[in-house]
Amino acid sequence: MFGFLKKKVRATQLHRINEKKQSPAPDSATAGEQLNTDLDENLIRLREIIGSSPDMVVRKFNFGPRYSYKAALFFVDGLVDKKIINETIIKPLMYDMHLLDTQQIRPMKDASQLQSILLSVGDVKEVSSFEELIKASLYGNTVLLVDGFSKALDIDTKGWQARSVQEPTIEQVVRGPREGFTETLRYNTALLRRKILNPNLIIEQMIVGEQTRTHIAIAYLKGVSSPELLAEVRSRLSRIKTDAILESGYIEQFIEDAPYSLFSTVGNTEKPDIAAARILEGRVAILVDGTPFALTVPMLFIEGFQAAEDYYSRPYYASFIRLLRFAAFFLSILAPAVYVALLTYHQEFIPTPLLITMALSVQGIPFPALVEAILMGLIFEILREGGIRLPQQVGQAISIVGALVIGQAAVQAGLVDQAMIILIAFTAVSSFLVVTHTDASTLIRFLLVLMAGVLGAFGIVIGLLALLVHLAALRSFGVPYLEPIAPLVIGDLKDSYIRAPWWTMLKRPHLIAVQNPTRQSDNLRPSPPQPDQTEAD
Amino acid sequence: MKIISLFLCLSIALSGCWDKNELTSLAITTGVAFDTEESEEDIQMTAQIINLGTLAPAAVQSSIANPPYWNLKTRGKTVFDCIRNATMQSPKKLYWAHNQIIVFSEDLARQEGVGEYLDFFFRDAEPRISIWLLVSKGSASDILKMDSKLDPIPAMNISSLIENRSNNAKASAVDLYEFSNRQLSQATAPVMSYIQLLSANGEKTPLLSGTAVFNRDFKMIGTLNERETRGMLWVINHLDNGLLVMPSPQDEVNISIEVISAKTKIEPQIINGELKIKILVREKGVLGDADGFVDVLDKELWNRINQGQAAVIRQDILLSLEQARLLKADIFGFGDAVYKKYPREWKEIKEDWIDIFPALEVEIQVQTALVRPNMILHSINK
Repeated sequence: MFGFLKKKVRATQLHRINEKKQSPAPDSATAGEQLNTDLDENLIRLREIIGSSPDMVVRKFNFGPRYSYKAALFFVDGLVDKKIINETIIKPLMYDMHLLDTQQIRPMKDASQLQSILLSVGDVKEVSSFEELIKASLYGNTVLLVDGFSKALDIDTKGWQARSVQEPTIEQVVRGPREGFTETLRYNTALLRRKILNPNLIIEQMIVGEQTRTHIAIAYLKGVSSPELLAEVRSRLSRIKTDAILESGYIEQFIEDAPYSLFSTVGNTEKPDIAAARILEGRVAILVDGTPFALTVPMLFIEGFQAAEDYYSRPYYASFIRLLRFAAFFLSILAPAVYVALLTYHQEFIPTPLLITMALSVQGIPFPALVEAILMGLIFEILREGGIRLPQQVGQAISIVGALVIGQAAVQAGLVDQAMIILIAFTAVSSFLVVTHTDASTLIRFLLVLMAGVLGAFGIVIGLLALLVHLAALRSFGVPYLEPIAPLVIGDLKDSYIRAPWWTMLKRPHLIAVQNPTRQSDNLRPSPPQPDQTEAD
Repeated sequence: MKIISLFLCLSIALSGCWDKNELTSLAITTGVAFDTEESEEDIQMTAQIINLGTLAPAAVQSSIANPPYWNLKTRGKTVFDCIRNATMQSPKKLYWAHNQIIVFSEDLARQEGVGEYLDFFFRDAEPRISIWLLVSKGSASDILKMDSKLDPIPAMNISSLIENRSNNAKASAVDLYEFSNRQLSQATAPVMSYIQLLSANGEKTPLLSGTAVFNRDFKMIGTLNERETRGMLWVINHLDNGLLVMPSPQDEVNISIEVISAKTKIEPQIINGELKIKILVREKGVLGDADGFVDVLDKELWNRINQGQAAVIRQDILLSLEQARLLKADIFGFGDAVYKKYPREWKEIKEDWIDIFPALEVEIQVQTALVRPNMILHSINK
């Protein structure tokens, strides 16, 4: 049987290789085609390329002494700020030019004089091919073509409708900055720049997605991020050849180390301060246009337990909350499984008074504990999903259904036991203390419940061991996923189960900031002022 | 992939005798009683099962007609037979992991002995080794029918009763583990708690006091009264919080001394070929109660009270020693102490220990300390 399977697998692999060979190179009619000096010819060619889309506007006009220069503007309506076009391109060319002494204007051969004298906008570039021209206009720029010039001008007039910087909805804080990333890449890079006012913050931009041509940016701190990591990130990003990047999740799934794992090996955040903190630790952030989340690599398991506020509040409470998050994580994957195991296999483990309480609770319940746990878990997930997807106006119905129908009616009808409801609700809530791993912990919870139902505590132990082995085997961009716990890195434990005071955290994460591990000098502990030596004498 | 295949292999290998019991399919047994039976061959067993239907919180104060437990009476050739026969009457399988007590009627303990009854509880996987063992004066199944106050289930009630016995130090507490330890030792006589029912106003309530003494063939041979029990508890180091009531050396008043710590050493000595046991008790007590005036600042009086408590302890031990000699039962574990210190000599006397023990010379040393007069210096009585 295995031989047969092997053959099948080989066959599909070969098939795939063949397909790859046949797939044509990305088609691009405009590749490398240079602009003509004749404006009319250029415009005809441009129309051929862009078709008849009404939002792609070509505006012809004349300017210069005796309106001797024929020109055309090309831009995409809706992406540009028309005010900028009117004020800074058309007005200077058509009106202000007359104010100049005609003697001063030598007959122009190319666009450089226009650029240096007449156009009062910030960012102007020369483009010479149709490909560049279209790329620029699709990103909100306006292209100025002039008859007789072999080059066109690419003028920055970006001004589309975008969501402004708002407070993030998932990663909320009591203390700390309230701003979150938005859908516009340029805003997001600006938010990062606002956090790290340092020329060493390097932002590299590239375009991914054959059809969508999405702009993505890599942000890192030169001198802190290791060149190997950067090279790896660049190579993984550059091998993405796909139709569309509509969200950073696309990128994540193309570059992650363990695509079959339940656990994510690429971190994400919607807060610029978190992204900046990770960049400062030597990580690399990947910003994707159209996505209010920044991806950060490498990602460690422990990152799920670290919240921005841990670092802003004082260390004692932050450490307590850290420990609580660990407890909640284990509770969220284990509690229903342990309950099922106790109820079906290990009644002797339960103290007698508790056993009697539990027996009273399950008395007359028609389902086995395993079935009950899985049913209740599924019902909770359905309610949760419903709560997210339903329009806000009907969203309230969910809580009523959840509280009344499931919580009360089901118990009164004797369909589920109260202890199970309490447990499932509690478990579900505790899984949200570690939001990063909520997806994984939900699935692991169901798996462990199944194992507990089949094999009891033994099944739970097998499940946990398998989980541990799996986690220990994971890598994220070369860094062991369980660092600093396995491999044990004593220094990094300062920011793991607990969060040590800032003045003790002298080093950046050991395995990430390989190049430049020192964060700060080691005499930063605040202390009362020392009595002046001379005065004491 | 490897993990999954390992898991699959294990699940096949382990499914064979895997025991899945839904909680709803179990009858939680909290206590069991054994009584004598007319026909010699059969065992009569009463198992106390929690009746969840009437235990629901609202029904805690249920009428006697509908108690929160069910005393299931079965019979069979062996204990296990009884238990399996119970499934002919009970719709749910008896579950023994939460069994708290085993009660034997005194008749049964004296005539048949308890050996054949205990094997199952050691051998089977379900029962715990911490089950309390008791002998009841009169019928054992009546104990499980007593009027249970504060805890709706009699067996649980008795279990708590035993756990609290250190407050009075007048009853012994023996679980399966200690019972078997005594039996497996060189010469120590096993003991059990002794329980009886008090009848007043038509209510039957339990009284846990004294000790049932067994010989090494598991037959009950006698009892210790409350004071003798305390004597035994001193020697075997099981007394940690009793009360010593004694007359004041000064007036005709009673004073109570609360024991706050006690430690005993048994030291066998062979001097000139003569075996002698030395018992050294170290005790600390506090003045807990005085009927009349006690001047705690009077140092001489304080010393005399202290000497008084030492005398009470010595008397306790002497009384229990006397009873043990009478029963020819080494309830203190002197034999084991000898075996540990003089293993070679022990070999020679082991066979005759039952005769040597009553004639043994025992020296009792009591060192006591009266620590404090508790919260007040002066008595309110003048």
